[in-house]
Amino acid sequence: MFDIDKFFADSFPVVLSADAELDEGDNKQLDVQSLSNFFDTPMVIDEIRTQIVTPNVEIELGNFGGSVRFKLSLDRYALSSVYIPVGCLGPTFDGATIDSTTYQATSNSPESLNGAFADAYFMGFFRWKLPRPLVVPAGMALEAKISREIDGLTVAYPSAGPLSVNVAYAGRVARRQMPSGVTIPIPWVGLFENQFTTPSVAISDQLDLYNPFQQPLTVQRLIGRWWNAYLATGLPDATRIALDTTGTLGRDSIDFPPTQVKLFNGFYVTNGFIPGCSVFESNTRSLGVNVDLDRGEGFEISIDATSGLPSTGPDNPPLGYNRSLVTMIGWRNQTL
Amino acid sequence: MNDLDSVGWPLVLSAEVTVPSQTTQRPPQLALMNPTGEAFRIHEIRFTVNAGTARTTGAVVGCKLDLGSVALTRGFIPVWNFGRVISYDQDLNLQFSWRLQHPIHIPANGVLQPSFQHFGLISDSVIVRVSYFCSTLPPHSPKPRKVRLPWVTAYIGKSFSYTAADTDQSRETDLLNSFDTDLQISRLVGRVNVFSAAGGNNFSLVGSQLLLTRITLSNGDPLVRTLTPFQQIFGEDGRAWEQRNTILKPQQFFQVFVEKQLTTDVAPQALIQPYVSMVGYRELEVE
Repeated sequence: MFDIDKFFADSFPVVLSADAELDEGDNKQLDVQSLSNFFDTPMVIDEIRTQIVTPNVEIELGNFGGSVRFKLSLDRYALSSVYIPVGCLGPTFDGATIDSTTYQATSNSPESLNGAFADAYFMGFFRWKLPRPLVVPAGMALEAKISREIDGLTVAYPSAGPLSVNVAYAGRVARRQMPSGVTIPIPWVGLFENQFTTPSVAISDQLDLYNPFQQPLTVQRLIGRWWNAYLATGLPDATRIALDTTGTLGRDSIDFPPTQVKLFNGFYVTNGFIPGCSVFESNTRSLGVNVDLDRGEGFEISIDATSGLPSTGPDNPPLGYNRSLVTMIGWRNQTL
Repeated sequence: MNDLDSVGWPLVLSAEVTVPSQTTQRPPQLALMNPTGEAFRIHEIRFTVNAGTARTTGAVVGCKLDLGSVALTRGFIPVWNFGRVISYDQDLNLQFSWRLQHPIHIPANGVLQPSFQHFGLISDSVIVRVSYFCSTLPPHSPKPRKVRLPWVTAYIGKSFSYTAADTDQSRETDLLNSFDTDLQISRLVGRVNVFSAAGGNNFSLVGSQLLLTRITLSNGDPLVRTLTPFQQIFGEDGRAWEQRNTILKPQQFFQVFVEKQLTTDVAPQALIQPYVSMVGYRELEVE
């Protein structure tokens, strides 16, 4: 196994970044040249940072971490089989809301600004610290396809412009050549997503959160987020597109229905259905698991929303939606 | 012998000083010395800044640290450029924490002396409290032959008008290893100060959209090759770009290029100023 820490012991840091503007339903490829390792030695990517800035619209609360998604691949090695929401890879840092009259942040800490309600810009910052640094050989790129769901922003704001998204890879560059035929860890992310139209129980499919490889998959953690959108035509003040926030406007609650987690082999990770915030810890929204899955093994997630769902809008039928998002983050070893 | 005698007792030393605008003040030295006179180690340094009812930021006051005749900073470094924010309520106290990668060894009867300079960005006086979170050393501990001392230096960019396009870059001496030994870099801290008549603020709109940055090493290695939002380089969580294995050789330096974008947004005569600091450490032989 290639010793990444030793090989990169005297590296120097680097940040690569690329931009995209995304309308609802868009699907684009980020500029490969901007994201490629243009050095003549290999580099590692330690973390991937995503920044989302909304157009200047009045929006009470907006978190597009469920809507903006990417699908990454290093040459022929994919990091996921589907598009993964950027908010489901690591902790969310609460987006900032800025008063557009005084240009003052309407809240305090610059590290974590809570949104407040005024004419505002909205920014979201998301970070994925990779479970293992990803080696990118000289001249190659971690290619990123980026998309945006039909999240409903234009229901309330028909003339809303696109989201401005910047994706940055923070990493390190080695000072020497890498030997050929090395075995490196490559991250893998699975996604279980369910839209709840009525109070019900949702169970993940066998192909959602499992190991599709011949070699073992080491799973670092599961992340669970609840995506709630409250939409109303022509009522921009009522709009809410939020992760982990439900109920009335004001971020007064974080909610995820009772959840059961078990492995395919029948081992129960949770002893029955447990409130979601106890399974997916409230700050990081993650459940650390540290388990090796053989080929075909995986997790089954059951989410019990039978006791009710947060409101999604005043229309009949409502225009918004409730979706659960659960990701499985790990890595497998691959010989280059 | 108590077990703690072998590993050290926790010790917190703290002192406060009021710094009027555009002056330099020192807090009382005695309050920052080990009362027993024995040697001790500092693990973390915290700054608390309070400007009364005036809105302020960590850019308003700078700190210079001296350990005897050895300087640990290149002049006065804004107190928000050492590490992360702990609390940031503009109406009360701003608190910043600098967790040292290696504890600073303070010899018997020694003191790490801070001085604070009010840069005059606001006219109100600022009350600054500095606190050292330490551990004592066992009595009669031998003097170390080598110590690791931090070194902090900063690039304070020019004040950009909020709306106009403009550029700036750091000088070679701003983020330089001026020593004749290697400097191990712990982190680069990047913050943006936005000042208007309503007071100061550090917020994300400017860093995410209006300020783009490129960074290179003096040998030409591009650390950030394309113009990238300031916020994406200095992460949202701690405004720091943590460095794992970066070594600056003697006379090597980082160079920061900043490009301020044109905007048609109306802003109440706000000014924007970037701050980038380099926090690292070097090894010294003790005489």
